Amino acid sequence: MIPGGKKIQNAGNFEIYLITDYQDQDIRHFALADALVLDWQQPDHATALLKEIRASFIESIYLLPVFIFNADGVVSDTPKSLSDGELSVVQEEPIGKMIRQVKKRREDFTPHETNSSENRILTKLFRYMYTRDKTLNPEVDVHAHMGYEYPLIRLHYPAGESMEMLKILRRGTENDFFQGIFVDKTHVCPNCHSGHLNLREVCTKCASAHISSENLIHHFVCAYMGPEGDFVTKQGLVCPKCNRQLRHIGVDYDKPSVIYRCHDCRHEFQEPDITALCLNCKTVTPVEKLLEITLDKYSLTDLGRDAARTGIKVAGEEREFTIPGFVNFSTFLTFLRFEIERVKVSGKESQMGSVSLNLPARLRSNRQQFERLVLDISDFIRNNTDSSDILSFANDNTFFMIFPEKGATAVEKILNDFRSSIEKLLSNTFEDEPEWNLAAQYETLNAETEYNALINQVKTI
Amino acid sequence: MIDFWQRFFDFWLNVPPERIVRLFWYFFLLEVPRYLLFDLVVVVLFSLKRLWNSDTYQAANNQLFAENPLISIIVPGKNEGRHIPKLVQSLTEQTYQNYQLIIVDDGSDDNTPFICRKLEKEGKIDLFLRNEERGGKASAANLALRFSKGKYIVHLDADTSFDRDAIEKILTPFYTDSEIGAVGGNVKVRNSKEAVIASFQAVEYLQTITMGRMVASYLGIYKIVSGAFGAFRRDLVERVGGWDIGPGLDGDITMKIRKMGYRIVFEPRAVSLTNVPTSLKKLSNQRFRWSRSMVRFRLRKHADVFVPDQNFQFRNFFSSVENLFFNVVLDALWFYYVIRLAINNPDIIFLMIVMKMFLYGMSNFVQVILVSLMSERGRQEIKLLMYIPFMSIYDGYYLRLVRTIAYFREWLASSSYDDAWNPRKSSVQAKEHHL
Repeated sequence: MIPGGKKIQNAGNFEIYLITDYQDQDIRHFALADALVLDWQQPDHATALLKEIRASFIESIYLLPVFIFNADGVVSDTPKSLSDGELSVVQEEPIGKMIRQVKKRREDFTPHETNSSENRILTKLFRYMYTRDKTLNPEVDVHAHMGYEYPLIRLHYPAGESMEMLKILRRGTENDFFQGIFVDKTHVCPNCHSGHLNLREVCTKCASAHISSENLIHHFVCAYMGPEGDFVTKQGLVCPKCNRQLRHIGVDYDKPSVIYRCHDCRHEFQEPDITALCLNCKTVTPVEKLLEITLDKYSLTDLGRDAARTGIKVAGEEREFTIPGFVNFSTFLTFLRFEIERVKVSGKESQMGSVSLNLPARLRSNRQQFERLVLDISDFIRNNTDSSDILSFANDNTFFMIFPEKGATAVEKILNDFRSSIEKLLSNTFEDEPEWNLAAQYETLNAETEYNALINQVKTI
Repeated sequence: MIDFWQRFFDFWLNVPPERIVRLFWYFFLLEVPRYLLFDLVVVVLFSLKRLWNSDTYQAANNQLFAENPLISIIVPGKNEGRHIPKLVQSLTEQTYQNYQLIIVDDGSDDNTPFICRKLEKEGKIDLFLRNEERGGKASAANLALRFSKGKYIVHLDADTSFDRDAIEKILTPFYTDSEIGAVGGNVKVRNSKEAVIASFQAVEYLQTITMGRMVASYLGIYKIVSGAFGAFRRDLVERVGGWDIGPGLDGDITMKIRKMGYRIVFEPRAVSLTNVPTSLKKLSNQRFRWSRSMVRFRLRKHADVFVPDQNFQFRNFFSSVENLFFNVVLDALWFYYVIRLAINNPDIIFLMIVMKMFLYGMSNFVQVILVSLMSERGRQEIKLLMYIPFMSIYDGYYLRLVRTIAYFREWLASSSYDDAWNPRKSSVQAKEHHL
């Protein structure tokens, strides 16, 4: 049973839940469901929950068939593309069909572990697309930084990181996992990559947008040529050179071109420059210098479907990132299981702590620098923990620690020290970065601790 | 052949001098005094005057640089894009630099807009104006005038290039006399080596422009500030309403400024080089156009200079009369002379043609040597002497024929209104209003 959810009876005996209450929903509960139907009465909450589900790295959660139940109202493109469909009445048939399809496809999957966060995202993407036969489409989204969004990938990148997001798609294409089909082009600010641009015609000399244009008139009979303003009188258009009235365009005069005038610097010109003011960072860029982005629709190739089944196998990508004194993650999980068993027997308490770096992808792109940073942090952690503590680093992101019988207060203090020291280290390494999103937390291991629940929790960190 | 020369010398050596004069009265009475003796005298006087006034000239030149007025260089044209980069470069080399360059593209259908917009972006052209549809040269020049800000307007053709001091030299005369309204620059031929016909034109330009305009300017009857290279006071150009529909719009605007009582002078030291037509067809079309304007403007539009009313000015009257007499009247007279000669002396007509080539050759020879002596590039120009023996064919027969045809066609059929040089829409209006 899922709190806030109502089970929908169905002939297939599937665990299908209609979610109407979004208060305190914990997505970990959904691992047991076969499908969800989200009631769209509270679109914001429903969207947030949908995004949380698709952002998870737990296969049974992010691959969950989720439908939108929407009797009236409009569902925006992003939630629509993250869901498996819209229902105006709760019908069993499309839900059952999707459940069966996803289940069947998931049977093809073999377990896949990787240290590379990029490969983790790609594999997840492939599996989602493979189970649904879905393509990855760019969606117009006025709230998106770039104006366009690939909603499923966006979940793993902060708002400013559109280029990183596109890079992962490009990598997928370069390795022949994806086939891209042109959909559209967009232009973004070269400074901040925002697509929210104000295009305006500006003066070629002082770049002011305070310009206006006027037609030029050619009076055939006397060959006078000048701006329309020269001709305007109360009697109509009268030639300033020969005083004749202009009566008939094409017969006694025409308007062969225009002239622009700048009201700031008085410059006159015929072809204004066009510049783009970025509404995000205020940078002004000539249109020809804007960054052009091609937006493709991506579908899985045969190689991509293989990668969905077995995970990505690219030479070099699977290299173990070994840190002296740190065990790899699967070993750590074994230790964790033993520790839980041990506290259960001894009746004592231990703590498991974690510090997540949550570095934006662009700061991880310089691999050498990143690895040096991780080694520095691990040195610090090793030097400030006891030799009996078990340490691990997983997913290019999180340091895990088991503190046997150390006590909650001491662990809290240790983690706080870690956090502030790591923050300092990060600030020194990446000088221009304004703030850090470090997360440090701990769980107490005692007789009540359930290993499986804890593992699920650890995996979502 | 030897027989012919035997006969030629026997005949001419035994003819008494007065018969020679009677046979060639046209040459001795009209052409020698006007084009040789007169030129000789005036060139000497012109040079002396220049020497005499060299202090005044230097002072004027100093004043020009002291005031350093903004001038507007305007270049109207169609499909001239390929010449523009060279023109721009030629201008950046000038000793006088306070100029605003305005290029007007009159409906080009080649890559002119592309070339010019690029130069405008690079700041090498101050203002590039383009008409999508052709409006004719006058309207293009007037558009440039409308947006010009300089004290003086220098009107150029796009395929013209300039000696380094040409702009400085064409502006200086304005500072010698406040009554000067326009200054004509010297136009010489750049592509004389491209074709024989271009070499003939090079000689012709030396005679009619460098020499002819120097003389006309000295006499105060100089009447065409060349569109290829001419400078005008902007206030005067605005007062006369700029350029009117052509052909021959440069002669027309010069006349309009003259009529206001201003002096027009020629400055032989302000040198520009231009490309002339290298095919007979193109040359003929150009000359038809030039000659038509003689009838259309001098005889029709500006006929009032012949009327002794309160605006009558003797200099303008004389300028037009001289122009008409030596071109239109003498052309007619020449045909009369040739026909009479053929009737009265059919036996010696061939001897006369050869003799005439010799006489004209001698006259031209003296003239070209004189120009070369005064010229800044005399060493190159003296080489043109090899074309002198045949100049009488080019000048005396070909050009005269083209001219005469043009006069008649314009006089009888107003053919200039059908010339594609002006767009149809303008010509229709000009014809309707007798402009």
